[in-house]
Amino acid sequence: MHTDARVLNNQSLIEGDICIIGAGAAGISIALDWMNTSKKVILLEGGGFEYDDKVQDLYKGKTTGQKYFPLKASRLHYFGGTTGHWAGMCSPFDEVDFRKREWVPGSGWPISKKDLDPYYAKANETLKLGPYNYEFDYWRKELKDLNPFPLDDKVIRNKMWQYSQAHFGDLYKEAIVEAKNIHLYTYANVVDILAGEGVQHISSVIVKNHEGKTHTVKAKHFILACGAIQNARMLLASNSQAPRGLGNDHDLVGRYFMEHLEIASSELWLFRPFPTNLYSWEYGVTRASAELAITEEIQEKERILNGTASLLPLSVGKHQKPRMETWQDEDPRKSSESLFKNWSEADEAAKSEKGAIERAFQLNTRIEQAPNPNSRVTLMAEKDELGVPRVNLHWELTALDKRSVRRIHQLIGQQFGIAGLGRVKLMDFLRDEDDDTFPDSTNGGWHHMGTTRMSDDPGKGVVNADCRVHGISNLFVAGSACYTTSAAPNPTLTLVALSLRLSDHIKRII
Amino acid sequence: MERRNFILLAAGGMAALAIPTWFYTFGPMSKDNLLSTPDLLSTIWDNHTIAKAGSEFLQKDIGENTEAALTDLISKQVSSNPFMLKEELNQLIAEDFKNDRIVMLDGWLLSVTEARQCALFSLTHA
Repeated sequence: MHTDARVLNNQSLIEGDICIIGAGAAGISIALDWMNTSKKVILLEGGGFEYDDKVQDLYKGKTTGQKYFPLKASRLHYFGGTTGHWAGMCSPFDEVDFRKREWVPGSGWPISKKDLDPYYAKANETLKLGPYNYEFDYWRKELKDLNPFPLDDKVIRNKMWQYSQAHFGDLYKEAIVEAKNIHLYTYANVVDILAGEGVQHISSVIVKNHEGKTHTVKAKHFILACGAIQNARMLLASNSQAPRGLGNDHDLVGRYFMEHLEIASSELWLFRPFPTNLYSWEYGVTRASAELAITEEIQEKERILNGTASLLPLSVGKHQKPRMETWQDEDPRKSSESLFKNWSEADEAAKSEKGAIERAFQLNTRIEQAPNPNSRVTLMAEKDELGVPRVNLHWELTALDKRSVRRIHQLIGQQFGIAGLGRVKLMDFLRDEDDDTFPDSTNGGWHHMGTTRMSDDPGKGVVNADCRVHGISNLFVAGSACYTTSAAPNPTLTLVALSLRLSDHIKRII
Repeated sequence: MERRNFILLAAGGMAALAIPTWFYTFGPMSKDNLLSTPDLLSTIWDNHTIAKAGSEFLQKDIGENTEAALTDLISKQVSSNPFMLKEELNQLIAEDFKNDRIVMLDGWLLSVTEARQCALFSLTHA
């Protein structure tokens, strides 16, 4: 069922068993999981079914520290969320990503990959991917010409990806709207979360819209599924009963913001052509492909973060501008236009590149960001049109991030040297081993993670292993905000899996 | 055998001996040339780039900045058989990478041996 909250009578009371705040990948995945059950699920979406600049503007904020995308343009605020324009890259986290690594401060989830595996399989279905199998050997038999570089597999492995074209807004609108027990409210922006006495239980949330309507939503369980920046913002801004914000007794809400560092880091020049389909990707065509990744043993030996390198023909890559440069318009539609314009120009310019460069690739790093308490979301004094304080995102990277990026490419260079396949040239910013800084051209992946990190210890995390906010019995967080560490892969597959696991947990306790 | 045929045959024989000898003594496959020409890098770099990388290596001031020193350092690790030289150099380069004998020149991660070859190239082709 669908209701536009703008046309409801002012001060309406909405009641249900579960209230999901946010209809993006996490929120919709959970709602789908409750379809055709006896429970009444309220699904709140701040926007409508299409882009609305007034609603999108609620996401506007400030950024400090490492250069970042404008916050307004770094996610989408309507039904389906950022899947409205995502690239669909999916790969599960590795086992090592969940473990405590003594060389990565703040690492160690209270759950393991094994705990997520059944939900990864289900998430693969939600995202309309192939089978939950990300083993190179499997895909090599499935698809043609996936010839791997003959590198030492004790050092370099092929990290497999599958590609989703699931835009949740289009894909699941009908199912959600027609589900009898799912009550979707659009233009229902949560502006406050109210707790009962002692702040151990959430009683209701207040929603508003630009039409001046204010409504109250009551439920037995509340799930915040608005994305890592907005989730932290809502917890911090809901401070009428807990002055530091909900779940923030230990000053952790908003901290440990993580992104994926996605940055052109080196060039790989092959001595001879190497025909393979393994390392290339074409949107809508490629079912699976690989990136070069460093094995767990070598990560430990080198004391580096988990990361990969993707291959892009250098003839194209050298003409592409950093996304951090092209994606700077506050309007995500204009930023997107600017990005694709540059990519088209680069494709065109590449046609005139001839010679050895035709056997060369740009190696683009994709790497987890080391957990860092100083990389954080805080509230500003300025408020949005609905009265919620806007946020400041301070994105801060560390020496471990830089050393890891450098070392990954050194290791790749070494392995290509041993194999006699080619040579690697590091980009300027990686050449000085004493330089821990990142250039302004450092891209993120528009992946917001970690602001309500998971830990069994309330002094170290905002949510527990069940994604429940410590100290509050019925408030949960769904999505990448719960990540303790961010791993290398894009977050959507894992955040859907984690949300489905949360959904299962609530089914057990409700 | 007719005199004419004998002369042709003898000339052919001499050429067959002389051309490879020239090739492996003074030509592109001469030891000196092989030592100073990084074979694999030549497939992705032009002479100017090789010389530039070589100059950067020479500026590192590690006592390997004369033709004699560089020739000695490279050649003492390979046999004198010119037919095997190219293969041996490539093996040596792979061993360098395996054993972390890697240098960075203008961002390129190179084996020490091929960096020396570039340096020798820049000295001998200046």
